[in-house]
Amino acid sequence: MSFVPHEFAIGGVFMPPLLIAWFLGLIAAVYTSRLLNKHNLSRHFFYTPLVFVSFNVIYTIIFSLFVVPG
Amino acid sequence: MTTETVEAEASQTWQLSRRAKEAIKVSLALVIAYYVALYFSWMKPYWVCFAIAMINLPSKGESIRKGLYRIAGTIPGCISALVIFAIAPQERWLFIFLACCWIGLTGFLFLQDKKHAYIWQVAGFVCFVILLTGSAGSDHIFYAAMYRTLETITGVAIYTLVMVFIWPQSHSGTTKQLYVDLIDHQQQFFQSAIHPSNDNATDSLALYDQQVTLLTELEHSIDIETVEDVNVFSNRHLLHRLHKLSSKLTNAIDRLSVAVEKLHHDDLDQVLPSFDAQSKAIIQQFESLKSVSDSPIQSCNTAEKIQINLQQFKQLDHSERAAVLLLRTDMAEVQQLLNDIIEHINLLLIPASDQQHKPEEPRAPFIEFVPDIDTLKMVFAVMCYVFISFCFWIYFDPPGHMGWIQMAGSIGLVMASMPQLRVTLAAIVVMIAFIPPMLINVFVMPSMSMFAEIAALIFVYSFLLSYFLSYILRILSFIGMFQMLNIQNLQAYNFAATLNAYLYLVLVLLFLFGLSYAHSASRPEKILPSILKRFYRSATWLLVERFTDATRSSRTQSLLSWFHRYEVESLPNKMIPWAQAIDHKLFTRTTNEQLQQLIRLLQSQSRRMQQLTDYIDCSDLNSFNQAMRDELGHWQQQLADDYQQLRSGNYQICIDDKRVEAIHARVDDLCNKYGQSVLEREWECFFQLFGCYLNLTKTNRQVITQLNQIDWQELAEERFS
Repeated sequence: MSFVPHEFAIGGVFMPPLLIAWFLGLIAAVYTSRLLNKHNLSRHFFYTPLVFVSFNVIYTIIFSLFVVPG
Repeated sequence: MTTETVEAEASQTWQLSRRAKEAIKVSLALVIAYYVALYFSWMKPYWVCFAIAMINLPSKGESIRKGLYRIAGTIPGCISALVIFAIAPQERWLFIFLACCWIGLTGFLFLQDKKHAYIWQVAGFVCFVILLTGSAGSDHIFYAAMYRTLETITGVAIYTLVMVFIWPQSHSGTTKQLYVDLIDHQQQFFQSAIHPSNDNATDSLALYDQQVTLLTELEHSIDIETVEDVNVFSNRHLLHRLHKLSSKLTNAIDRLSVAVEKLHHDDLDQVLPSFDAQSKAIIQQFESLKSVSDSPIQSCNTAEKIQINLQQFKQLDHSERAAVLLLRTDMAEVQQLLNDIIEHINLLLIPASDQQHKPEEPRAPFIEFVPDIDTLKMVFAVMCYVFISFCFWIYFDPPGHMGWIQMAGSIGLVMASMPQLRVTLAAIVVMIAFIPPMLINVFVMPSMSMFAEIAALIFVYSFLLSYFLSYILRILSFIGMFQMLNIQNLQAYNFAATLNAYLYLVLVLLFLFGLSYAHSASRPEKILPSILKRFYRSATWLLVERFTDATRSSRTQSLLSWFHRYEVESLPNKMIPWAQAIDHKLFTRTTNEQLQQLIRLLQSQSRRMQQLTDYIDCSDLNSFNQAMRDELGHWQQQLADDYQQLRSGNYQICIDDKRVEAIHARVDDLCNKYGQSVLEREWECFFQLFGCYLNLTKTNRQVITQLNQIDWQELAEERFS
């Protein structure tokens, strides 16, 4: 994939790359939170909703840097 | 095999199920609605269909009632939209302020007025539908309001005609049947109350729960049959009064069961010689009520208190004496309520126009306006959702544009009524439900040109939705169908617009899910302890604090008293949906049964508390001597200390037999010291309070035992929800 930032087109609908990166980041954050729940590690956090948002932001940045050209 | 047998078997084989008939009725109504709307070229034809989809309920009474409520809500919604638009056509902040005020007002009424909740819900979201319906010309908005009202009325009328003439399903007779079931349960409850067994505690809680469920269904059934049957309509006040009396009867039998538990049956026969006879007479009255014939029921039992055998009474210990005094009062109350119920039933047998003597409505006590804290919080939350969505629209302009405000208002009201609703689940359902109509819009509809083809498509698709899906899923799927198919006269196909609409719906639901964290909607395990704290806060105030501050004005005292009483009465019921929403896969050491048992015990504790406060309020405490008042104060302080500990989360309180024995010893001293100098009437009053206090202490012990079985530490731990 070319790493020049460009929009994604589906049937004439143009979506910004950050939206795709955010969506992938959301899926990754959900998966990470489920893993943490499963291994009972989430109890060490102070406020899990904020942690979830942080995971989402971190994964979005990672995906936009290395996967989705954003 | 005879011809008649073959024909009978054939008719049995080919009969459509109830579900299929209802699905056909809805589908037919939708086709007719689309035909009418397209024929007259009305704005947004799917508005007619929305009305039909929303009022589609099992019986004609329910559907007609909901249809009338929808019309009654649409009119003020349209008027408010026109007013807001007229006041603030060009001032955005004034516009959103007025819109938030309107959604706040309708949201408050929606949550407070349970009977007419649907009217206020419709008034709330219709205002936003009109305000945000398209181009902002003043003539356009007026036409939008007018068409919305017209199309709603048309939808209701079409569905009413289809429902009344094609396979009508009536609710007739359900009220009578429910009432007979209720009487049957009350009789069983009474019989288990006067003959307690070892499993009585669990059984009586379960029986009480069943009666509460039946009472709720009965009230609902009365409201539905009022619309269907003119006789029920003319007797509706009597029926509602009958419902209230039945509710009081359930509570009276509940108090009776607690009083009887303490007494041995032999003692009971000796102390209250006519107890057996009166119990049998009451059971006989229950049997008469169950038979429900057309002839009046005789009610010859007077509601006087049973005479006490004083000689035997003096041989009982103090707690037994207290139980006997409470039992007399409760039996008299049960008898009086049964007499009132029989009087009402006898009146119902007379046609409404011939009813000359109507029982007097007792004057309701003056009830101060009691603000429900949770209602006010949710109303504020909905107003914030609308405001934040408005800001999101004007600063970011996401897909869906001004539709974000409309959805924030509509879905916000639903979230306010069910704060424990998992919005992520709704988002997933929407994502799945909206895909088929989107695909139909893209691949099937462009090849259609005649109404007959579209009619067939609408009929088949709506039949499948109505037949296979439950009510909530059906509503969501219908919304998807109308939004995605978007059938109108000037039909145009634009995949970008369709996908845009799909994306916007999913994004707005996820947005609202994020906002719902502000009131911990997704963390029900954190809500339960806070409700418990509030419950014990109010309990402490009712038992002790309201007597301590003499500087408070009587008005303030009265308001606070009503507020705390309301909290004590309503908070255990509020815990039920939160307890059910806890995900036990994340919290494995606490089961749903433990939480439900805790809630039942809290409800019982609430009833005992109310009984004690009622007796305190009714007693003339000034007639007690100082020693008796001090003893009463001592009990109240002990209760308040226990509740303070429970409020702070310390459930390791020990209410052992030593405490109860110490109280018995002190009451012994009081009787020995003041036995002759205090009037009998005052001793009776004192012992009734003593009995209420002992009942409450026993229930407190049960609640504390149950609280200690639940792992609160695990519930306090953080989990990703």
